[in-house]
Amino acid sequence: MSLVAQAVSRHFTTSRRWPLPPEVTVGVDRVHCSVEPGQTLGVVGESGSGKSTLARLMLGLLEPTGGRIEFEGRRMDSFGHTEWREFRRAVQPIFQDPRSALNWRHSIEEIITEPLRNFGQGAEERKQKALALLQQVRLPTHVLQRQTSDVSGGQLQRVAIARALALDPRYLVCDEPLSALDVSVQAGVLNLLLELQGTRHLAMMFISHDLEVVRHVSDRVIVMYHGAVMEDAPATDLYRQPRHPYTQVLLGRASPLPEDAAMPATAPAEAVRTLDSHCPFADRCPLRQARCFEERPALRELAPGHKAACHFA
Amino acid sequence: MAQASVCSVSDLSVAYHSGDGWLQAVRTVSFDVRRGEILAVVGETGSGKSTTATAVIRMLPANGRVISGSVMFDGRDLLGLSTGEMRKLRGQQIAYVPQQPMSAFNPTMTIGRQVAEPLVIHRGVSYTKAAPEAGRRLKEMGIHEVTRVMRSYPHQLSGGMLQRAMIATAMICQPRLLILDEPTSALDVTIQRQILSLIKQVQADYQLAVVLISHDLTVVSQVADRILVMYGGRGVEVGSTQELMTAGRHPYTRGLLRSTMSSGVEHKSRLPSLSGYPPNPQEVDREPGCPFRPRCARAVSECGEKFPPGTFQDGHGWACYNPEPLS
Repeated sequence: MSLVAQAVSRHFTTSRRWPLPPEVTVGVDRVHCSVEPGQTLGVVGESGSGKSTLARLMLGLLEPTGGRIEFEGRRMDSFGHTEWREFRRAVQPIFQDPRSALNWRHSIEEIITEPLRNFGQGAEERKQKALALLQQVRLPTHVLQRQTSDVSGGQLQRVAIARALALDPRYLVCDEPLSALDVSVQAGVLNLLLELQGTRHLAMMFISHDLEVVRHVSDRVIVMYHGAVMEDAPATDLYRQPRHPYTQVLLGRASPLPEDAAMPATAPAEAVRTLDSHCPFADRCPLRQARCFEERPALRELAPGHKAACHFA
Repeated sequence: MAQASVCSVSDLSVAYHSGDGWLQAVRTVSFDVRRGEILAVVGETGSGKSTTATAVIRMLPANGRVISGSVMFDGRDLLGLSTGEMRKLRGQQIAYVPQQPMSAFNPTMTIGRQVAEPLVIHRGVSYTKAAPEAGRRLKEMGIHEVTRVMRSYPHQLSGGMLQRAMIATAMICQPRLLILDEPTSALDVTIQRQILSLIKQVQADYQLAVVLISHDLTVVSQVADRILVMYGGRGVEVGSTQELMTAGRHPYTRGLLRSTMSSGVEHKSRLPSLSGYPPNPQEVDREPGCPFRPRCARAVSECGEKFPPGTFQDGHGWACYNPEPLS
């Protein structure tokens, strides 16, 4: 019973003017991960690392260009109408900025009850459920009649959480759920998510650029760079002993090379480089050697459950 | 006081005109910045931190007005200067680095030209003559491929590079006061650290007075000498970074620090959190006392009547009737 990505890739192709070949950008590259009941999978990485693309793949909002996603043993690419409906009920998103994620023309009540209406619940039932949900996310009942512009960002994120919980999902995919919020309200929303996970035994995927937050909520963490997993380990191990140089850089335990550092003299020229000819982090890696430009390191297990993609880890 | 203050703001109040009248965004805020120090101004949405900065450099939007106070710089009150006089100071004596380097640069001009521009405007030299100086500044800001960067347009560079170029632009006329508005919040963690240490280095090399505006107390505490905490348009606590981080007296400062993640917190445990939400100016307007009162666990009856007077002890000040005890 889990949501699993198996070597999932998503490449984006932008067509250019004939006869230039289409340009391919790597969003997500052969990622393996698994979201389990009652557990949190943390995903960290900088902007452009593919975190949000991975979230959209797991939510079924984007189709993979390679690999597959399995939802409780069934392949997502074989889903028919019924399976998709079941999937939409079970897997819910929480996005970064509730102001742009929620429809500002709807009242808070409409926002929270819309999923219920889609799944055929009656008006009275919907109202009761909305009130119960507000209580669970600690919002006063009078916000139901409000518009999104009348409530603060922190309150609106709680509304988004209530909406996500309306159909009693088993999985939550949270993409930077705290980054748009004021510092003083972040801890409250985080407490709420953890509490809901405990009471509802939710499986959570938690994406963030904030390493301390991810450490706090996650059981397992994957570290992404240029669409690929650099390190995959239980949260405690990852923070105690980061193996990949990129993770060490993220945690502030090593300094990256400057963005415009010169290539080592032994490295092959840029022109011949392809996706698999080198390590994606080699350009900025403080520990890089000639081999990093010749061969892409595979994700290998260094300790039980602790994997890193580095020749020298 | 070891160093004379470069800029001293007293009793600054700013209001914005909106559809239904005037709303006060900053209320009697005072602070000074000394030569060779970094003062961080920390606050959340609506705390008035950016308004304070834009009022100091006289770049408030058209619907904003300073309603009282003074900003002394070099023996003159900036608020009383003519537009022309102010224009001579800006970019030359006082430099400002706005939020979001991506949108602050002109997308149709090369970086080299934009870094050199203040010299052309203030010193009357030609772009050709100013270019080598622009190159030197960029190099000083840790950019290696100076020639390529100078020929690039903003969209061709990363956020970190643009922020370095922005600081180079601010520094090219060797100002005495540098104001940075959220210089790291648009950047990734690894780049964030580099930019912070760059700011620290520039400040030390030139003995600059720096005002660093941020929403993140823990980030600025890495570089700031002193911190001013703002809430609901008011300055609520000010003190040395060390003092504030270890012995903050205002319940808001303490609450922020308590709810911040640190390695000592038990995995998946409940974090101490502040209840409620930061107020908007309308709410502050209705509340005669301390704007933090509705969220404060230590509130006493006076808090609802009048904003508390400041208490000072060895350069550490707080505005609270019932401050947190020293631990």
